Amino acid sequence: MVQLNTGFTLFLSLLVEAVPFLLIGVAFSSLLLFFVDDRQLVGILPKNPLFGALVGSLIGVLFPVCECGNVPVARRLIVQGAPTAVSIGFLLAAPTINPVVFWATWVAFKGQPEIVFMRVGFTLLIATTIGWVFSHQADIGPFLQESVERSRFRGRGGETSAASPAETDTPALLQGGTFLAGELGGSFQLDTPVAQRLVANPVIEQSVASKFELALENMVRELRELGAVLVFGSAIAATVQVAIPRETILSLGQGVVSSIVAMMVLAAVVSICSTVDSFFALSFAATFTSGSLVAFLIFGPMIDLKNIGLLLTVFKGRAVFYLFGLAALMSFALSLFVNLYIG
Amino acid sequence: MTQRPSGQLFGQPLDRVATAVMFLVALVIVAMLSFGSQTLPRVRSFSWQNRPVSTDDVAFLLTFNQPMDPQSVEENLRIEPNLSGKVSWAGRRMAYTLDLPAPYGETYELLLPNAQALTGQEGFQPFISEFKSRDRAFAYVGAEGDEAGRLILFNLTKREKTLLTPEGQLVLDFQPYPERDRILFSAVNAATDVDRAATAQLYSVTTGLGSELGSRSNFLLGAGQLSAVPRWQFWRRQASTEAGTTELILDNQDYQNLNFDLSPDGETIVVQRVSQDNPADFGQWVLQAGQPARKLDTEPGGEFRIAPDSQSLLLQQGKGTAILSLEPESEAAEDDANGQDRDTLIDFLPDYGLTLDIASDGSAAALVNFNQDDPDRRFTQTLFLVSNRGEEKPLLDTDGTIISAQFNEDNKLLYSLITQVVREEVADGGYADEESYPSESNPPEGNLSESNSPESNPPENNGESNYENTYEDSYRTSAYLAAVNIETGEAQKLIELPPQSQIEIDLAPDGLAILFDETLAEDPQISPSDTSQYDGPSHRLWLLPLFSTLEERRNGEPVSLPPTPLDIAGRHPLWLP
Repeated sequence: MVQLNTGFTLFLSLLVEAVPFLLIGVAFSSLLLFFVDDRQLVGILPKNPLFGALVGSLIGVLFPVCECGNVPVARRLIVQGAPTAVSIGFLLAAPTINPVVFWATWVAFKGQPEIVFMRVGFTLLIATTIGWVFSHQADIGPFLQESVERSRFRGRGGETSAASPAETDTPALLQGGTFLAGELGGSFQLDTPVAQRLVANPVIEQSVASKFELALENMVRELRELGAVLVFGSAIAATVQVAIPRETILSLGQGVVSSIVAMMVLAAVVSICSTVDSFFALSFAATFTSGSLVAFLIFGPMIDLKNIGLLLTVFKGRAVFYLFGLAALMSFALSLFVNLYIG
Repeated sequence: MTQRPSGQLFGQPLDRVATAVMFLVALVIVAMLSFGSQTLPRVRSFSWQNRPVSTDDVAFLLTFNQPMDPQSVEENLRIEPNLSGKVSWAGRRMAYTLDLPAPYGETYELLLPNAQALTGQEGFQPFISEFKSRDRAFAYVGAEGDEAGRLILFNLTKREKTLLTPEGQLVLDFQPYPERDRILFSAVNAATDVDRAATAQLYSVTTGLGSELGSRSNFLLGAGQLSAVPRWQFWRRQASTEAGTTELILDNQDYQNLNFDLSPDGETIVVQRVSQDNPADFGQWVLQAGQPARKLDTEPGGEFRIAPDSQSLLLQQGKGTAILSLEPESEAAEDDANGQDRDTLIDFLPDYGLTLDIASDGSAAALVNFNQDDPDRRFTQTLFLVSNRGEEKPLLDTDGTIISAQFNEDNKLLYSLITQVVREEVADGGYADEESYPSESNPPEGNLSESNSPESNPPENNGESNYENTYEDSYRTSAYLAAVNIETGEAQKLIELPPQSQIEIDLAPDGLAILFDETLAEDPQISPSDTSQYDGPSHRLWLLPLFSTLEERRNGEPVSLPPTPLDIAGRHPLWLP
């Protein structure tokens, strides 16, 4: 009974800390749809693979905040002909490299500010490197899902004629959306609208009133979707703290390697949104090594179960495997470095 | 998503590069695992590193890079000079709560040469750090030459004197702000103001000690500090100001400013004011930052003092003391309830006419009962300790007056300045009753009939008649300073003070010494009703140490020690917090 009480207190405190940031993140992401026209952006992106990957990692500052919103945007970028390095950099870094996530992490880890900087720095490093690796594939086509691949080429054609490609793309888009809903099953029905805006930003071309309505709708939908994941994640975090004996957690959390592996598995399974995952990580701060916290914070936003589902709507299995493998290995290597040499 | 026959795809450049990079990273991991060793456990941050510590700083934090074995840390932790305290843990953080505030003006060294990590990992990176307590500093009103009447800051640690107010301004009273960066004072213009007290205005002046605080947010300091202003809040950082910048707080346009009190949080000032035109328009005004001054709507009162919570006022009204709320909100609530525009009366203590001091934690107050209800003791005063639970405890009686009382830093001792009546003959004989405390020197019952005979009976005496007695032939009052233990009620006489018309004492914030002023030349022209003190005789400041050993301090048992003259001509000394 006492444990249940403690668990519930932990659960609520996690939730209370995280919900404001989730609200800000969702509002921010929806409002940004108004102002940023990714099609204009594509035209000015650098072509140099390394620099492009870095820029791609950094444009998260301008874009929707959470890892759940970045896959559709990355897909829009790919379809509209942005360099692969930029798209991949964006895909991996955007959930972490943005003001709301930075702020939330800072609030959570005020006592260990180096974790905040390591999170940002390592994410940039990994995203840029993977972007650079992917840039070696001059034509990314063979690694894309066929629906994306088809709309991509049409998109390219549209780009040269300087017409709006979004409208011509719409039928292909809708197809993609239906496919997504079928793929993920009933639990992710809410993704259907996300799928509908996979390629084109649905807001840009609308009147102000309907833009606002769309943004509001987007906000409510994301909040319901991500809120559910947050509640679920908080429950897991609270349960882990209460149910598993402290000695077990401590011995797991203090091992140089075991702590990192544990936190990376946790990150992939829990799929908690990057705006609030720092609070989740904070609840492990007293018992887990710093490196493992960093691993959780950099790996979680890049790859998790929910994300893999979304990634598979864009990339083929092998590309997702490379993304996953590279991200996991590099996160592990950097976290190990932190544990061994920084502490 | 299922693997296709790879002939067509596995030859893609991405496959090759990705595989190569993954292999490389895996190799690096293996290398790190086989050659690397975990970093040594170490102290990550120390919350008092290189910053001035005040008596408000009761604890510091040590944060480690990994969970430590508490016992090994506690055994190895040393502070030099020693500061005893208690240890508590939360995860990787250790808090060390001092038993007694760190004495001011010292540099301390924190050493942790060895400790054991909880994982059993061998080794520890030794930790050495320094921290300082605030400089000992006090302010006083100068009493000599062109310093006369000016507010002067004296840094006792560095032996530096700073003149804060300009020449031509005569400072009447002052009180430092809690962060010691400013001092609130009342002053008159020496050149033009004829009726001086009537034209006093309130000012604040910077002490230049703010820079000491500013260094708290120094960027070079370790991370994760518990400072008043976190270093990332750069917009809140205090600019270190030069000493001596004066700012007008309250003018004398329509009202004379008589007495004032500054709240312990520095946010509220209560001023006793009387209208320039209408003497009946008299009362206490409340000044709060960002709000116009408002008059407290209550019965007229006398002495007043803001409570340590900075939200209530103790005001002498009639023969008792009223406790009033200073919060405008509660005033509004009262309006709604009664339809009356009255400030909220929280409590009324009918027996006590004077509040001398309130414990810093608000647990008790030192009050004076003038014994008006007891005909046998009409002309004595009793020092009472009244707790916030309503317990009243008489601490000592005197046939003279209880001038002031101050709680020490842990509210266990009450330093009281008391006068008693002595017969001149006895005084010549070297204070024969030196060891007898006032409670024992009450006039015996039945002697009242002989009160015309000075030899046989001390005169009846109360606050008003003290000073007359001072100048009578056979009787005078002598003042002494006593430390009263509020638990046991035992009083320890610390020093006899020379007879003089006015004396003020102030206890250092770290509780180690008392400052007092001495009137050097007895001038028969001077009487307490005379307001022109600054033209009066020269004054000198003294420092009275209270403890000779650490043991005495820890037990809260001050001893009688000889005071040191400070060779400073001044009066009304007050320590900066």
